[in-house]
Amino acid sequence: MFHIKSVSILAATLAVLQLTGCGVQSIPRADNDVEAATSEVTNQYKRRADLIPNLVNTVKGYAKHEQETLEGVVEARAKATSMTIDASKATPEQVADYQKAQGQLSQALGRLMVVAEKYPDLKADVNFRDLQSQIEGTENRITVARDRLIGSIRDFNNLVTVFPTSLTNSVFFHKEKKPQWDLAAEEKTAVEKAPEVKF
Amino acid sequence: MLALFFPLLLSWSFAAEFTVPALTGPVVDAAGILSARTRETLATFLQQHRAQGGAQIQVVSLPSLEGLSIEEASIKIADQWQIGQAKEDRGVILVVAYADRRVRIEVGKGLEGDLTDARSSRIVREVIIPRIRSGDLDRAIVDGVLAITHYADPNIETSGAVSSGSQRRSVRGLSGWKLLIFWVLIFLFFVGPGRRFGWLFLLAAMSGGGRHRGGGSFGGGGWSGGGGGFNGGGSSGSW
Repeated sequence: MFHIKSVSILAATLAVLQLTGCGVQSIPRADNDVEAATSEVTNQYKRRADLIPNLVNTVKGYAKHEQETLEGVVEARAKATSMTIDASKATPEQVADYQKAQGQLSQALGRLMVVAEKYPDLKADVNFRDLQSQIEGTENRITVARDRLIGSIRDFNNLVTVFPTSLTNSVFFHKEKKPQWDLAAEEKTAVEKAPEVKF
Repeated sequence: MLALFFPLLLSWSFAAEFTVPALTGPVVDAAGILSARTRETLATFLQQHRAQGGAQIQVVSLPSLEGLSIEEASIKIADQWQIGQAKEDRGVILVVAYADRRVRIEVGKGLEGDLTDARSSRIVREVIIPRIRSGDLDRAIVDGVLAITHYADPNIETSGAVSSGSQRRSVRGLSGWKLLIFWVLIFLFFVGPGRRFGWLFLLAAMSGGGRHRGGGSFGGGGWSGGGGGFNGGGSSGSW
């Protein structure tokens, strides 16, 4: 009887270990992936912010009376760059604020591009065209980075909430499900309204 | 009951989902818009270019974007095919959605410094789209690819490497005295007394040229992505 009891305890322990073994590596990896993906998103937003002063100066050269629009972009950029986000500790509210500021910058940029359409000399300026293509490229990189971040958050959340890795999490890691990185309302309308550049 | 399902059935039948075509070679003409000669010579060129240490350049034509933007379709293709090498990420994909009138150059991570967004944009605007507008799609793709190699691999010699289906400019890249000698030979072999041997000359020139360029397989070699990564850099255009 002693033997049966210890064997069954051993068997039960092994079973639990086997199950909790699932996720011992994949959960921390997924956590790191989310952090890396978040950095990538913030890097691309920063890249966009870095392109803007040059763009504003180029537009100013041809359209100096469009003060309101130009100032709008400068202010929106200042607000967006003043917000930093810590990938590992961001609360949903912080993420929402960050995305909102970026969304407002997207809208201000969109308005600037619409205004620029009215100035043929500006549109023909090589510098402006290069900047425009760089900003479009960066906007696409932002979209790609954000899609990947959303994917990595989903993968992490799946590991943490779905059996058997959820068991490992509750035994060893105690990690919380992460909030999904949603587009702010401002960003959504900016994306929908983006003027199509036809050549 | 059927009324509930009907809209669902409709959406199933009308909105096909975008699928990434199979990666069969350097030129995946899923839309069937390129001439056979362009497909073959371009595929050979791209194989050789990669074999010589150049970037892995991919050309793909799509029959339809199925409602996606060309950027969305392009990154799906890039993520699945993984053109370029795992660490260097020197891959680039030229995507043409002809029926949707859109084109995109999708640039891999490792090429973003050489093939910047601004340069990709120039290639799309100044090389590819004007040629599409004037009706020469083969030329648009070939010259687009050559322009890409000009930025991505300036050290690799590509003159005379590719000819397209259009007869007018079937020999490119020969300059100066080489061009003069070429025309003299053409005259001698095709117009003058040596007419009979014209085709022999052509055959010799073709095989000789092949041997010169490293003697690799003529487009028959294997082709697959090397694990290259993409971040969404590049440029799109429409006409």
